Amino acid sequence: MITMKNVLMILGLSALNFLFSLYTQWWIFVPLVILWVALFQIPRSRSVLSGMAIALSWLTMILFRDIPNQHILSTRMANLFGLKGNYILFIGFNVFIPFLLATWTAYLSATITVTKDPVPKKR
Amino acid sequence: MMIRIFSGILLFSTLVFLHFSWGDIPALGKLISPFQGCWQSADSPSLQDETYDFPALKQAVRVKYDEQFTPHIYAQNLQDAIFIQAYLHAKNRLWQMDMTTRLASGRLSEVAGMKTLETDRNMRRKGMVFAAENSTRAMLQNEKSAPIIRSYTQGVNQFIQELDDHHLPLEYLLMSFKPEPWTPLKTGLMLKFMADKLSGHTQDFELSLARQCFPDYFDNLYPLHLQEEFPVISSSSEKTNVQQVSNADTRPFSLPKPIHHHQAAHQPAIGSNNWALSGSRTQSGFPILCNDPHLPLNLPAIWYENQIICPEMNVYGVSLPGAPAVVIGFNDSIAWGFTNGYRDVKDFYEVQLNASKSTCRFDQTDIPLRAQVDTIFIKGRKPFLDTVYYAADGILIYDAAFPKEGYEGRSFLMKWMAHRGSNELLALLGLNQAKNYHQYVEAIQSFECPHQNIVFAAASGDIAMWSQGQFIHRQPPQGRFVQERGNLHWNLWPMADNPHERNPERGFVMSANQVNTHRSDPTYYSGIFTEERAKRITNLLSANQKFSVQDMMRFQTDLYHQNAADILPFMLQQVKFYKWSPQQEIYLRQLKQWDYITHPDSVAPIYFSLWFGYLEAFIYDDDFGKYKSQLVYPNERATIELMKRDTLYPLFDLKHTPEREDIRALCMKAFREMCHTADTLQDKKWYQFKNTSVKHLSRIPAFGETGIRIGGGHGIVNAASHQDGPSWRMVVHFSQPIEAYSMYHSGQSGNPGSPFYLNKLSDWAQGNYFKIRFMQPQDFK
Repeated sequence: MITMKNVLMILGLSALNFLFSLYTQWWIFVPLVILWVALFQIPRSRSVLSGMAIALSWLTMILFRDIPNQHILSTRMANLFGLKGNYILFIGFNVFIPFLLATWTAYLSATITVTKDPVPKKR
Repeated sequence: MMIRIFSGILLFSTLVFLHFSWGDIPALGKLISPFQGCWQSADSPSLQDETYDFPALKQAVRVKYDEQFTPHIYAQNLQDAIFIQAYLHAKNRLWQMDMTTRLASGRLSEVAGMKTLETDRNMRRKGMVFAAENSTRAMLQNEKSAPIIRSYTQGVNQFIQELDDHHLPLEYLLMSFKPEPWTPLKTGLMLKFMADKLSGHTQDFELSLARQCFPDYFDNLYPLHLQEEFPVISSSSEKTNVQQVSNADTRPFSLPKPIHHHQAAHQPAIGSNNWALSGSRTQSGFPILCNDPHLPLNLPAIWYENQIICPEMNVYGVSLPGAPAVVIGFNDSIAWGFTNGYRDVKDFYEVQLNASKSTCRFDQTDIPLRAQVDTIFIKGRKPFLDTVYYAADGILIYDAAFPKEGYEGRSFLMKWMAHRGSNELLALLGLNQAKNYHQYVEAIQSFECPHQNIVFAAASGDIAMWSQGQFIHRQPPQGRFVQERGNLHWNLWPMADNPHERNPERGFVMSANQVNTHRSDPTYYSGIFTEERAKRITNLLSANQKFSVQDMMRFQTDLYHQNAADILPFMLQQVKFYKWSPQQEIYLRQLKQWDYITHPDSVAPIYFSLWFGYLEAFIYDDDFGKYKSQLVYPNERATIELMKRDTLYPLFDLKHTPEREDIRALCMKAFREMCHTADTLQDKKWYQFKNTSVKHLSRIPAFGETGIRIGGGHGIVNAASHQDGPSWRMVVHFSQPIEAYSMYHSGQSGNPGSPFYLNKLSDWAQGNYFKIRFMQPQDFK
């Protein structure tokens, strides 16, 4: 569900990951997501939000590099990965990997650290 | 619970898999991360001027870029200029420099694994490091070259120090290794790598075998001189200080074991063109110099275009990433260029090793050997130890531990001019700074190996050509075959006697890998020479007219197939009386109507190429028999002369048929074969058939291009063949101011993610040129 809270959660985690990734290893989002989930008690049902947050930070950085480059590198990499030079597919693949890993991490983390999923509010 | 644990382990394993490289699979997590991976190589097109003020520099150095991303380096002294040249080489071509020196030193396996072990062993057996060490010592002992090579080393290392893990060039990420510090030895290795490319190929084994197999035909198939020649030095008949030669050493060569891998090879396709016109032959009255060296069309390009402006010189041209100075180019006063001379400066001797391998015996003489154990580190494997034996005069290239295929159990010592401690860098520095003919001659005296035809033109009006290198006084047939007797000593030829000419009467000098001197020259030498481009260029330049710069560009991109022009009418004559099928008649008609221009969209060059190829196979393959894989086809011009000279030459008879074939019968058979193949080509054009390709050094297809739409080909002035071709085209016109044009097949950046990686390719293929911006110091004020 798109709520202001969810949007803020995504933006917050995304910004944090962006900042940390500049100076640390690519997998830094894994401990970040674990901490984020534990700290804010994010339930399993919202694991995908963490994935979206990490994917967003990667996508932002990719576009920051790719657009001024006029897709030269992404097209070559798409060829390298057997994507027939389709740079959009390569970017999609490139964003899907952290999305998947972050969602997976959030889900596992929530399973361990969050007591239970919230009950949906009745209308 | 178990599912959670399993899921956790799986997640952790995935992360580990993505974080590390596994064999040839790179560390994918790091590779695709936009914060540190491949995306760091997504350069944006920026041509901002730069000012460098590193602590190692005496004064700040400014760099201006033109629209082709060519740097114009402006420094207050030569050492600072070279420092920044090195820095820019590393910034744009570090991986290329790293891999080339690894290849040259036999260290590829450290980063590429087992698959390159044989290549590494071969390079070490050639003595590449030994050669580079000798030359590096010479460079460091010379007061002019020593500070230059030190500045260059510092400049490369400056860039390497600035590199962190987040900004490694893409190829390092894909191969999962990091650059190591640059050393003067690596520059020595770069120069020896070029020496190997240009003078490392000989046919001693092939010709020894051919002489043994066809004693009656050998001189016709592999003549020292062809009937029709266009020597580099057109006025070369009045040689002095040369010895008359005598026949010697016709001792039988022991035949090898036959191997059956492939067809007989052709001679190497790479070659180059250069020429200079005196003012009397140009429309402007000023000299023009042209050069287009043909080399493998690799990516990144072998050359890096740059200008160096400092008080000592103002020079523009191409440099070799990994070595200082400009290799081919021009300055305010002179221009120069290179073609490969192809004179044989590498000898093989069959020796008998004693049991302890402390000596080997050659023609009754025991030669002491020094053993050196080479440790070859291999990625993911235990190191491989190889013992290499050195003599005072050579290196044991093949022995029981590293046999030449077909020659198992036999040992061969190799002696190569490149092993000498020569200082070619000094020659380049001299050329960069030369102001006139005398300084050009003085500069090239230290150019020993590889043998090069060095063309020259000066603003003062002089033109010249020196066939330059350190040559050897030989007795026939020394050097041409594997030697089994004689001695290992070389009598060196005084360089002042090297073939040369200055301001010849015909108004031009020209070389295109052809024979150096006239057949009337009594000096014996051998090599792998080709005449077809020399003939074409001579014909073009001999036209009774005055030429412009545009004519020069037209000549450099000339598509005329000289060999076809010389033999196709004869071949067509042989088949004209037969009744061919309608489709075969179409092929014949296209060949008859062909103007010998190898336009990219034409088809006649395909038919000729196939036809002549089948003809060569019919002529030679049955006679080569079981040694087909170990012999080399004669020069195409030799075959052409043979066909025209004697249509009943005994080799034309096919052994497996009862009839007695002549050249007419073979032309008919070859034509039928050509038609069968042509029927399967599905409307392929010439450019699709020859498939000119530019390939990345890593051989990653995604980083290269294939099927480039360009005409020309092997043996044509515009020599764009499958993987070789004009690696740099340059035209310099000494008008006031100097007018110069250039082009090469890729771009300045070695980064596949850069807009300047392949930006020149289509212009190169279309024969376009960029006008060079030859800056002056005042442009930086």
